[in-house]
Amino acid sequence: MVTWLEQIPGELLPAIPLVMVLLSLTAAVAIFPLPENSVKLRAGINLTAAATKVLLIIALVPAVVADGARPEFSAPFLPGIDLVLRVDPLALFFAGLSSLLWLLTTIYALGYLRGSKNKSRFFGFFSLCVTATVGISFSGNLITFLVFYELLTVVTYPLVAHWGTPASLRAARIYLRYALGGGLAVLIGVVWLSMYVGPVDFAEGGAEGVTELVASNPVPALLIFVLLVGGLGVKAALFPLHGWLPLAMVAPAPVSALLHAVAVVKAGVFGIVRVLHDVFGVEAAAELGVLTPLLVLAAFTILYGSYQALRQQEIKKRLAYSTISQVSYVVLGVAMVNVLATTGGIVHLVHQGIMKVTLFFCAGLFAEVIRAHTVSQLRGAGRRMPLTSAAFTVGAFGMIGLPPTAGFISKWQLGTGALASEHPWVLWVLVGSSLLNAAYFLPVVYALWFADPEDVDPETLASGDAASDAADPLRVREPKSLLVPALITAGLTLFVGIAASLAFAPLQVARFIAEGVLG
Amino acid sequence: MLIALSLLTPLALVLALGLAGLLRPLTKFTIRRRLTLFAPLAVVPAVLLALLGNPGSATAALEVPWMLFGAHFAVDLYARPLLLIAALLYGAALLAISWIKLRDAERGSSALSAFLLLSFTGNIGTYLAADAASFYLGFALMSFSAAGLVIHYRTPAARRATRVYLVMSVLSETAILAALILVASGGGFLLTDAPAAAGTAHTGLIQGLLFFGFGVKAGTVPLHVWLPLAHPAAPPAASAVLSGAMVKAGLIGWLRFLPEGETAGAVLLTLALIGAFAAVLVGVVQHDPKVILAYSTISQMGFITALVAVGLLVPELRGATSAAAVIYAVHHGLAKGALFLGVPVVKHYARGRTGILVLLGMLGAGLAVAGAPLTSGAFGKYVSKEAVSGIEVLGVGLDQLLPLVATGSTLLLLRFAAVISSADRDPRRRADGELLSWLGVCAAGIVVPWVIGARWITDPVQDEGVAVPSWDPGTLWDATWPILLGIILAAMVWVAARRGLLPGRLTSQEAPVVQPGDLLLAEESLLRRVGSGGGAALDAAHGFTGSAAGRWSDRWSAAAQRGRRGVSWAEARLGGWESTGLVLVVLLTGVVLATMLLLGGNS
Repeated sequence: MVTWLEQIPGELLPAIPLVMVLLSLTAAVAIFPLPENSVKLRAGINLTAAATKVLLIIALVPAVVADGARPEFSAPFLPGIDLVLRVDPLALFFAGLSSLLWLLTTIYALGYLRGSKNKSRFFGFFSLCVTATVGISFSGNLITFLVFYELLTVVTYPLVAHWGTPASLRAARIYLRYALGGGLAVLIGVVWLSMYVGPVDFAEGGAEGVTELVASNPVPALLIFVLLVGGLGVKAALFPLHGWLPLAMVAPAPVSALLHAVAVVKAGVFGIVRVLHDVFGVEAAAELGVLTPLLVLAAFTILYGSYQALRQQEIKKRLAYSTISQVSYVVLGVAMVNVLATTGGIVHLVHQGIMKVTLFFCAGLFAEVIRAHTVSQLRGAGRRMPLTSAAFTVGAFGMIGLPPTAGFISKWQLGTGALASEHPWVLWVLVGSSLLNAAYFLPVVYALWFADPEDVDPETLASGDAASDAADPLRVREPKSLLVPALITAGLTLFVGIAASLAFAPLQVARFIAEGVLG
Repeated sequence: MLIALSLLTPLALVLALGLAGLLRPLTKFTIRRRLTLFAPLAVVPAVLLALLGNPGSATAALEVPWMLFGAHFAVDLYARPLLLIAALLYGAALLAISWIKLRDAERGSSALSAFLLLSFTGNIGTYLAADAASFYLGFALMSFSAAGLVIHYRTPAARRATRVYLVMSVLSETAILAALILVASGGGFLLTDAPAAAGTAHTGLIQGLLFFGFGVKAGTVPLHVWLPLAHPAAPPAASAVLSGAMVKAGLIGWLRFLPEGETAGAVLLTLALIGAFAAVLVGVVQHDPKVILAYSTISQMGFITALVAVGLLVPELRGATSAAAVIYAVHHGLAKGALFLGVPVVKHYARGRTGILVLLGMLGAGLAVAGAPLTSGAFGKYVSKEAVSGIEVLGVGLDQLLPLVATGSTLLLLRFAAVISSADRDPRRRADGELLSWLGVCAAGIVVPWVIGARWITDPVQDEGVAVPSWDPGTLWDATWPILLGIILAAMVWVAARRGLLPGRLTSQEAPVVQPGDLLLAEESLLRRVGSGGGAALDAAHGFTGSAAGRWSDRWSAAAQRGRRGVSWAEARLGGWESTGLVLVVLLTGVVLATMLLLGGNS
């Protein structure tokens, strides 16, 4: 299928990153002025842009991963500083995740918001949000990254506040405070670093001049690192900067899905990976002595997030704390600095994304279709919404790390990486987190499939398998546009787990990236 | 090819059963009913694989490089016999629940079939896997699917059993995952390298994790607590595979991964012998026939575990003890499967002419478990005794000690016979899948272990078939005296009970003196106490952090207010340029000082 795509003319390659960013931007610009009732046109614009992006990414994979091409676009931005968009394997990896999930989330959101108000505003900001995410992934230097990173903060605010209720406004305000504070820290870090070494261009093994800075001025270098990672840690929800995330779950389900799986949280952790690999370089970072504290922080966040998730009864809150825990796996992996662990961390960027998006899709479905918001309201939902429940089960098993899901691949990879590193104790963090994940996800799965619903009388239950051809009295039909994306991501969760060693499977690309950084 | 078929056929059927659920109720019902009729056939590829998959041949190995971390499957000496009995038992169980008149069928028998098929795939996956990740995949699939078997009846007892089972399974899975990662990191990703790799680094840790992880599955004391709850809670057909096939996944795990070690061997041997004998004491006071059988399984698994332990203690014996453990597992799987499948058979068919058949079959299976001469049990015990000769425990030869397990089995089975013969009979049925499958397993129990022992298992040291006992008077007596001892003991207890010499609590008809799950009650109450204590401590911690956070936020808002007041005050005062200038100078000095302090040493 991709044979025609593999032959993109060489001269067109550099334009692709720009096209990708502009594509979502154009979609946003086109959507904002649309009247509320032009549902089809809006859907058409959204889906065309999203599908085109997925195709472009697929087209880029062979060139970038196999042939080693690095398509690059740059334009002057400030005196002496360029806006640089460059596609390297890590950028492609993250952009691939975001465009795929954008397509699916758009389909989901179209169904989810059917009949509600302010759809043009919603989809406009939705597209802007993806513009920012793609920009972040393709950023070739720190300034470009910062621009898109701040853009992301601004454009997600209206999405979190979408419903306009006091709770969502409060959540959005708190989110904005956290994110702007984090952004400010990153800004100071970037400016400070640029004062020393000029514009910071991402490069494998560390940006130009940074290694020398670490050797000559370790204290400012350390402070810059703390500012950058601390600022990025707000979006990545590292403890103790995670407070906004559980509140932000009041957003509409597709927004939560995007926020948790690919946009905000992932942008933060992607930034941390960039800072560690392509700004400081792992060797310089090791010299600064920041890796072990970062590792400990990530390990603590993993256990703390799981523990808090255990205490939540509301499904979306439980999922939110679970994100806090899971995203730190990525930081954990890259902080252990060996190919195995780094592969595990990077692959979890994608694995966590598809698993968590599945769970949020399903949580949205449960909330919309049977008004189930807490775990106990899910009792017996397996008979009422079997497909949604099946998808949720796959996602939950993935989070626990059971084979053959994607989560198992990440966990195994991280575990072997931990044993190969200087910090074998990390294995016990993974083990503890697995136990905690099982403790808060298995009861949900149990309630779905094995518990009897509370409010249905036993007679209706019994008549369920009676031989009448009337529709099952319990069975509820889920809207297709909500169900299909959830099934696709659940299927992907299984597929990338089972076929983890297929060429261009996430695990292989992640290994390629890790070998590039540490090789 | 055959390996792939063995694993994929049951999965395809499960998928079809699941998808049928999306149809309209009546169509769903018909299609599911038809599919479950074909369910027993899903084990056919596995049977063929066991028969044709000569270890080392092309049929017996499969590599799937794109799967997981590169998946490897193979039929080897141990996998082959276990594969065959798993296929036979699961096939029989599927037959027993599906080839049956609609009015006699279990409710939700298609779900039960689906869970059985999933467990089957996982179970044979653990036998066939030749790398650590695939092994873990099979093990997890089996463990979690089995929860669907245990909870099938949805009674409070079944729910409690399922909860206990799930908790134990999660703990066991996690321990195994940690152990396998440790083994794989040491270079033991392929199972052929695993024990050696495990023996090089973290050996004690790996042994501990594996004891725990697989011990839960194999019913090793004190991890056996879920077993007397879960096995009886499941429908009889499912109990047969739980007790006959699934506990053997723990055995294969040990054989595949455990590194040798004296301490580890001694610990495991002690636990195994405690289990082998203590289970008898608890089992004989039970009132439910399936609970009695579950305790018999714990006792028998103690026997098998003792063989594994000897292999750890004396590495030279490992080949022989492993072979003996597999033969014993084959025998026990079929005999115990026949007994469990026989529980409803006795209920439905034990009268008239079929009654004689049922009596003979159950008697045969019972005698086999006890190890009577000429049965498969005698063969298993003979091989085991040969393998462990020379090992002493507390000054007594292990080959003297192990036959006493047969005495325990005799006691348990006599108790089982007493309970089941006094139980009520249901209305009579025509011959159906339930009877057929039971007959099939009985017949297999007579033939299969001998064939496997003679043809498939070769002693790795001597490179020849395992010695089949010649029935000279000495061997016969060796097999007979433990049973006679058991019968005499039982008779003494019976006489004592008739004369009223036993304490009333022991003979009470209401509730057994020891509840099924024995240690579980103590463990549960301990957990509850730890839980409530820990919960209170955590609540206190949360109260503390909450109030601390509150104080902090108060302090900050107060500071912010003071700051705002200060700024307004300063704003009002800073009218003149002089004071502005002054402030500027002060600020600049501060910045310069700070910069010098930070960077001074380097510029």
